[in-house]
Amino acid sequence: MVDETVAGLLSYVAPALRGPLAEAAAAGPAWCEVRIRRGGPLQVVTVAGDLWIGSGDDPARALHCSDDDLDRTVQLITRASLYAWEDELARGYCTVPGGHRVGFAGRAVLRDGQVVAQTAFSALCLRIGRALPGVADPVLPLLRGPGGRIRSTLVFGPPGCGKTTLLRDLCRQLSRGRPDLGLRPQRVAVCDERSEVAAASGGRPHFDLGPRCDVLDGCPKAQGLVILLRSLGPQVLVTDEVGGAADAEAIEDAARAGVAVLASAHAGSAEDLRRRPCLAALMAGGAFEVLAELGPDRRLVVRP
Amino acid sequence: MTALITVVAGICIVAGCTGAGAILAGSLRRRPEDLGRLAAALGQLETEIGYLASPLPEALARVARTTAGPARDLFAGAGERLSRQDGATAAEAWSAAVESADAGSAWSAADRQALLDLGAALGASGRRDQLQHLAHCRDRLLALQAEARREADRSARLWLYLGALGGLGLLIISV
Repeated sequence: MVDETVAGLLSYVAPALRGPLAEAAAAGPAWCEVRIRRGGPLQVVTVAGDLWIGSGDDPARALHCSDDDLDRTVQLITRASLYAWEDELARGYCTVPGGHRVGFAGRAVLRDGQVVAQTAFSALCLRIGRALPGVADPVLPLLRGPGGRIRSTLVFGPPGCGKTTLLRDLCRQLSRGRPDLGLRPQRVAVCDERSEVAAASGGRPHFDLGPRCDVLDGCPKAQGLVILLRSLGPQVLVTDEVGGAADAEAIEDAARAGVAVLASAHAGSAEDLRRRPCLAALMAGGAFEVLAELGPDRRLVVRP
Repeated sequence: MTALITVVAGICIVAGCTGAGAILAGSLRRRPEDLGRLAAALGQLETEIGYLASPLPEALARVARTTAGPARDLFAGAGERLSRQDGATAAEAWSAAVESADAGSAWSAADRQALLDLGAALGASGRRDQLQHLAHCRDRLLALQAEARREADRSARLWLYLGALGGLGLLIISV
């Protein structure tokens, strides 16, 4: 029996690959990613490690993806409308209904030194979006600041360790409130540049983010945080994958405005975090009071 | 009795041939109208793609609701096929819809070819490129419509008369 989340993801995969994938999903451990490479073996990344479809642990004997498999998967993901995903494809990823994020690798088309499109796709990474209610429980007690204020928190870790899932649950629980932990319900606003936290489609979030949560979808963080701050009067601002100097500036602004910021960032360790200039500046400026580190094994270490 | 049968048969021959001529003439008159609807529908698809960036399944379905005849069958058919999420490419969905809408249309081989050429590019590139393909196809269809109008003016009446006269000729030969 294939779970509903994986079944949803399989509807975006070429029909010829759906059968073998569904068979493996019914038998194996929980999935994190499906990787489709042109002419390459069909790979599933599970919580227990790599799974090669058709062979188990040997990529050489695994089911290999044809040109047609990859092209049809791209058609299904983009709904046969590459033009509708132009910006997303230039950035290298898009999010499909269900909150699954798809990464693309192909041939970059440059204009004035900037990537404006991708063509001739060679690989796809379909990352499964899940809601794990309660995953933020170890972090929540540390978020209670003086006077019922929420402490600004940075969640960091390597790619695929569950940062977005943790942020999602933080949104849900803070928006509802946790009286047992002394956390009052908060007005939460999410700047969801990659449409991954809420996975909104047609103006409706796919994931439950609680009753007091508003989502600005697809907007660059630097602009989105300012818009949310001015227009929705949030008590907590949430954003995913902080990276650039402009993002850092917007977060500093929000922190100065007395709003708690919950953000995530890619970093292998606390030392790596301090080596990234914009994040180092944020940490030095005291923008974050709590650090939540997720390891590659999804183990959570929280430091006030 | 035999005379009566001969008269009835004669009437049937003349009516049949006149009818065949009328059908051909009607088809010639219908073609410019069908092409005009197609060109207008493509203009709407340009708006859906260029301004709204709507994905093809929704864009095609919305355009289908605003047009009629074979153009509606074409847009609705292609949109419906793509909504099924069965892995069909836009080119496959479009060409299947062209084939299916063709039965109820007055399109010529050149009209069909213009539509099939568009299908090969549909959805497969950026917005600017899509608009160029759509505008090119619309221009081709408008040129074909002008030619179809001239053809209808010239030949529709001719086919009608030829049908009736052919029927009379056949009647004379058989009598």
